[in-house]
Amino acid sequence: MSGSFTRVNYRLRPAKGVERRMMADAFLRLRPFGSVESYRYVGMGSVYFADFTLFHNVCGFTNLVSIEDAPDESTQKRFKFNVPLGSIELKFGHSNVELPKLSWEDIRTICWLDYDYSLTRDVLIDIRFLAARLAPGSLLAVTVDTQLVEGDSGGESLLEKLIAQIGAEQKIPTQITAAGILKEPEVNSVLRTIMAQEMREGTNERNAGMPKGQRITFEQIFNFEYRDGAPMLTIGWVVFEEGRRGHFRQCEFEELPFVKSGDQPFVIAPPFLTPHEMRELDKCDALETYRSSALPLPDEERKKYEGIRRYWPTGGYAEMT
Amino acid sequence: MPNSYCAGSGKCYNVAENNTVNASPTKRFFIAVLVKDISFLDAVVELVDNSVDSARLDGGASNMIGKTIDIRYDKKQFSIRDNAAGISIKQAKNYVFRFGRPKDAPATPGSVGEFGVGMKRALFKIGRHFEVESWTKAEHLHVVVDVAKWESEPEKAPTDWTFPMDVAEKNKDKAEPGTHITATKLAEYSVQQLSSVSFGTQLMLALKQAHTQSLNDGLTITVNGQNVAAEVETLLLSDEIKPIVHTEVFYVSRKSVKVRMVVGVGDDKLPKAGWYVFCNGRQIEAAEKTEKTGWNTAFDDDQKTPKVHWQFRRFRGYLFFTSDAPDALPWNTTKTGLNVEAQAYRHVQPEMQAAMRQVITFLNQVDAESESEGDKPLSSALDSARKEALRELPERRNFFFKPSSNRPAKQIRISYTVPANEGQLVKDSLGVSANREVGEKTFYYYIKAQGLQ
Repeated sequence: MSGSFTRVNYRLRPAKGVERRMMADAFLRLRPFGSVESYRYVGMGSVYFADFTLFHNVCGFTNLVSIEDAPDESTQKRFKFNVPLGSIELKFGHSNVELPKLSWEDIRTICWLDYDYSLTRDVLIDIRFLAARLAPGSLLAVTVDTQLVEGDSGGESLLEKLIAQIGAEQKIPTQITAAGILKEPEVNSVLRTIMAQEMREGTNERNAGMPKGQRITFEQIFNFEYRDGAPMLTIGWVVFEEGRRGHFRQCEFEELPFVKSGDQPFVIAPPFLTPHEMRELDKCDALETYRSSALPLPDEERKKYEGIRRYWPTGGYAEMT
Repeated sequence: MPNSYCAGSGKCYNVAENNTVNASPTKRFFIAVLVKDISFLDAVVELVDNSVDSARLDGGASNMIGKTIDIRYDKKQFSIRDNAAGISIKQAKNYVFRFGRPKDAPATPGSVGEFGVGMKRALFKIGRHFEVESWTKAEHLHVVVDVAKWESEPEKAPTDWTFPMDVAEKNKDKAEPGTHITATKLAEYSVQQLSSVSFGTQLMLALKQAHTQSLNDGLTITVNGQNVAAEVETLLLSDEIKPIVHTEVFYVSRKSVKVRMVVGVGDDKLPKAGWYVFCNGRQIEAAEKTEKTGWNTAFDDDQKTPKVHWQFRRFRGYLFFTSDAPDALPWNTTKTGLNVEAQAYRHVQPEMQAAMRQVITFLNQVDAESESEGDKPLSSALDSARKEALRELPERRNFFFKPSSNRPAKQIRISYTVPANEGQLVKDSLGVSANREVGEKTFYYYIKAQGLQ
């Protein structure tokens, strides 16, 4: 969104690539709610549209919408030029404005709001809107930069920065208000908590007066942390009717090692390995041989690769040299 | 002899005696209407209001040290305990639990509660079961209400509505006076609110705002064991800058109202700029900067108070209303805002406008000064002034600041945009690196070339 494509070459971001592949793997598990191919995908494709291409290829989505905050015509032309699939519909405008223009209640959607900035009031507005609108069986993922931005007056504490960013002291979790201080290691957890609370408030609104089994609830499945450049956090939830919890269970998200339903994130740390080394490791047929292969590699790098090798963006070697 | 009733048409009907229709409310309807216009958070604050009133009455409004209000909640239960004077059996029987304040009820001087619905409304909003236990020095009582049960009792005329008081005795154990209120069987929206990770934050902010004056007077409020911190309001004071502090007593329908108005300059934070209004210690407006408090309205000489701009970020105005007759104060029924039509408020408005104009004139001069080159006496006066708590400020009718003796010549800003490459050409030609220098140098070049000076 909003022009980070001019600063970041998304194809050179291995952690993001891994994240995308993991997400695709998780999307495939939504089958108990209905055919995955029939889901609509709403994203913020940037000029690279990497997520669109991947999700179309892996999950078979054909109903695709990309929201791009690109007001000027020349930038829009660039986006139109770069659209890789004829079925991608481009919406130019701010997500706060464009999301409400789409219909939500009648179509299961996977929506990935991949912001290139930190958690702001605008992000919370989008989350709340979608929590109140997403059709049951939908999935919402939100990615934000976890660096809190310096305000106008400068020199503020992390807590002051966060309050300024989200524009409402009322949304700060009680435990932080009570402590009066926000410490660096707590930031991601607090961002996650604030986003989840916004989800809860959005669903509370729509649930008023509904019978219990038809109330909308949500479960977190993604909690990714990674850093290609800026440190990023992705939280994702599956939205469903309380009465269909059985369907959610049948998805068996917990079978996926990267699915995290709580405060502990799955950290995507790309290994520093050469394509040669990776290919060699890929040849190992079992975990034991992988771990004991005689390659002269630091243990740490070997371990990093172990956790993500299925998801490593293989096609990218040539481009990444 | 039957009564007769004559319609507007002139036709008269005989009406048999006792022939009336039943118009009495059902309890269920009554409760639904009662809680409709209050938010959950406001309901909680309302309960705290009651305790604050009681504490102010007990220890005197200006000394609340040792008075505590302890709020606890989880998803199943909400409770509030205070150590104020408590409710006597007579008060409980006749006034406290009645909906609405009977005409013969004794006045509670300086209180927040006015309409006599606050506590009941709040309790009905929060839960379907509540208990009130209270100790005065001499007595002990316990009232318990199971709302579902109460509603399902055979309908009676509202004049016969009662709540059971299962304990009404002497305070024989010499328990510390105070009132404990516990609500359970919480309403669904109560549970949702109380489950919110940020409810504690919201509550503490609301209480800090509503009761900033009592907190500054020594009252302790805790939320799940966490102290609600008082924010001490300050204004800048020095030999060069002195705020307006003006106290006046006037009458609204023969009821005495006292107002203390404090207007001056504070920190340069725009969100904090504006008017703050307190009624009997309860803050009802904070950082108000709309037409309500006179921003952006015309004066009689057609001069307007401006819209709120960055340059007015230091403006602060405070109105502290107090009265033994709460109905004479300019607040709305939920005590969450100004009633701009209230006489007490209309009475002080001219003074407010005049005060505001003085401070704004000053801030405009500060702004003009900051745009100009050279000495900045007003800004440095602001920087060197100390922050003084409002209550310590001396009375003075007019805003005072020492006008700078050598006011800098008025300056204007000229700006324009040019294509970057052309701008660079001129920069290179002038041998400067900043855009601003390009503007200045070319400007004076023109003056010189035209022989304008």
